[in-house]
Amino acid sequence: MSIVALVGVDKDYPLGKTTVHALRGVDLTIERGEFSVIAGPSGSGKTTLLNLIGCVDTATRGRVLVDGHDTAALSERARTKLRLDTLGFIFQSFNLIPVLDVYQNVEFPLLLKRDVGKVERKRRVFELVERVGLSGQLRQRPGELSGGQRQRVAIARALVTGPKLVLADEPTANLDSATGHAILELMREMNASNGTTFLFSTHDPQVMDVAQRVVRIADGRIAQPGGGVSHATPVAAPAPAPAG
Amino acid sequence: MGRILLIALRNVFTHTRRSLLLGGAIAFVTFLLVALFAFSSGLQANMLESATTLVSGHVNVGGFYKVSPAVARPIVIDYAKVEAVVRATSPHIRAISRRARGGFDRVTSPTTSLMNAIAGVDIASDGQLRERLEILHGDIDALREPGTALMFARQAKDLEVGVGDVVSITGLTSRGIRNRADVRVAAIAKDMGGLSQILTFIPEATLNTLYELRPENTGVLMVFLDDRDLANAVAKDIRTALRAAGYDLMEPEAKPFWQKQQNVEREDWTGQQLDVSTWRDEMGQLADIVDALDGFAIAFTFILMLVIIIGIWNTLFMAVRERTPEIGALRAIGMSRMRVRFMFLAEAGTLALLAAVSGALLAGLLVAALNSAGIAVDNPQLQFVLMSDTLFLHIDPARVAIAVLVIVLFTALAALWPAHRASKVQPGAAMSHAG
Repeated sequence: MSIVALVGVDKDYPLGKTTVHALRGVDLTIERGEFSVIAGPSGSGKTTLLNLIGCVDTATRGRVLVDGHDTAALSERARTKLRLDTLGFIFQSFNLIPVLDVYQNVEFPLLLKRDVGKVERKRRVFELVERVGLSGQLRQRPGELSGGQRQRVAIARALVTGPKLVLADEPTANLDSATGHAILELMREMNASNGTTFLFSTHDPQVMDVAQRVVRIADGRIAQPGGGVSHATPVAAPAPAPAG
Repeated sequence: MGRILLIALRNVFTHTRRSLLLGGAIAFVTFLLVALFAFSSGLQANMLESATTLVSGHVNVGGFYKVSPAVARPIVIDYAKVEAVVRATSPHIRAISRRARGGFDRVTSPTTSLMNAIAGVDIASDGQLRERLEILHGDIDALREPGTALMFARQAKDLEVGVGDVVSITGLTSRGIRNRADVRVAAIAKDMGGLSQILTFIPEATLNTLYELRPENTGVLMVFLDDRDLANAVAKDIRTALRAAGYDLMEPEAKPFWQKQQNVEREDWTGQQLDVSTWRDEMGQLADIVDALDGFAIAFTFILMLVIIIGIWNTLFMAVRERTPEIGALRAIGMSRMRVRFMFLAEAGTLALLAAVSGALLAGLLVAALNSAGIAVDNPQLQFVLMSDTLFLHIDPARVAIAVLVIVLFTALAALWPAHRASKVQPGAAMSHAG
């Protein structure tokens, strides 16, 4: 079963007296373990699409299935739980909690889950922080880290709950080229080693280059109906780059 | 929960300027409230001290005897029997003193005169008066001798007399005869606020002679308890016991005995009716001043808190706006709306708690400093109201705790709206808006 399936999805927003058709007739399937990109220019509907898949918003028409759940049929509470248990998020602006240190930021989603004991939490946080190369910065707060380091913290936070799908909203947009590349390599390594599905929104060619699959979107429509493969690269497992 | 509280606490300290402004305002309100409470508590303490030394026990058994419907005297007939009933009423009774009650009569010195309430005391058995009064000149034990008087400093000054001088007291008996007693000033005591300005003590025997009263009668039995907070309960028990013993009782009324006397003289009965009152009842309208002060403090605080609420709204709405992407991210990673709401409430509550405790501590320091400075109050009118010749403030920890708690709760309630707004932030707010 696919991790994500969109069938005939429309998303309209009211804008004054007019309606903006952000997405029109989108059909898309994302398989488990994919490392895919939704690419398109600004205003094309990438973020709207990501919001729908991330259970952050609901479709005007059509169905959005995430891990087998029809998101429109879920209550607000159930959607929150689905996000907590199934999804991980990485944001363009990192959106870490500024008053918590690296350890506490990464641990936070596990505290929300409640069912993970202290020892297990500690184990998972240490393991992920080590994998993203920030063991030396455990007690530093986001304000004391570089952009690349912050995004590494965000990656660790997104992965700490063991999500099936990680959604990354333009994860390299606020990073320089070298740091962005290193971050992408890190995520690809996580994808290869854990089998976690990654789905990005981007208009950065560098990101498209490393993606296994690129879904192009323009004016709210998928360029290749059915989400066919437009571009593929072999999924390797290079060591995470130390840059950041 | 713990991590959310940590976030709240750290946010309070991170946004220093904002926290200082709002926290400062909350601290100021708490400071004012605690200071005003300290003033009213000090006044109440003075009132209690003054009342229970000069005119009242914690509970009093007094009453009136009327030989005719229009003439009432503040007399307890055959007080020994009444005292026996009262003493058996409660294990909390520590001591019972008796005082004879004269009239509000003229006291004349060789140079001037003033109107005073005349009280008769058996100094040998009245430990309360002996313990509490601070004698400035003379000897309180000289009141054992008939024809002596104890005055307070301001009276002695006004009458221009000292120890050893003679003053005349003119008293009106229940038969309408005006008698005169010449008494020697035996002791001059330090003033004790308003009541001491209008009260002169003479030996019980001298008062009985002046007003033609019998020695087996007295004016009031003053009952002292081991816990003054039990006054109302013990008063109720004493009423029950006296009724059971066959005494007629007046209905309880929060007025001093001299005000009740005016009413009693308009009532159509004769004989003895006993009256059981507490020290607060005897203070009458003066006790109402304390309540009025507390009411003023609460109302004033309430108004200031309305201003604080606007500050809280402004601060928290600003915080919600600034932290929208952060809140969106928290919602996206699985934080429930309830927890977001709690996070903002915790932030407001933490700030309010820290500020209110600081304000209360500052007020405590001010009260300690003012009390240790012993600020004298020279104005007689002010002394009358303050019940003391020095400014005395008293911090009641329970009232301070309640004040802090109420302010924190008030602040948290005010934070509900912005917290609710924060909980409505959509997780999508964390996403970029470019695509």
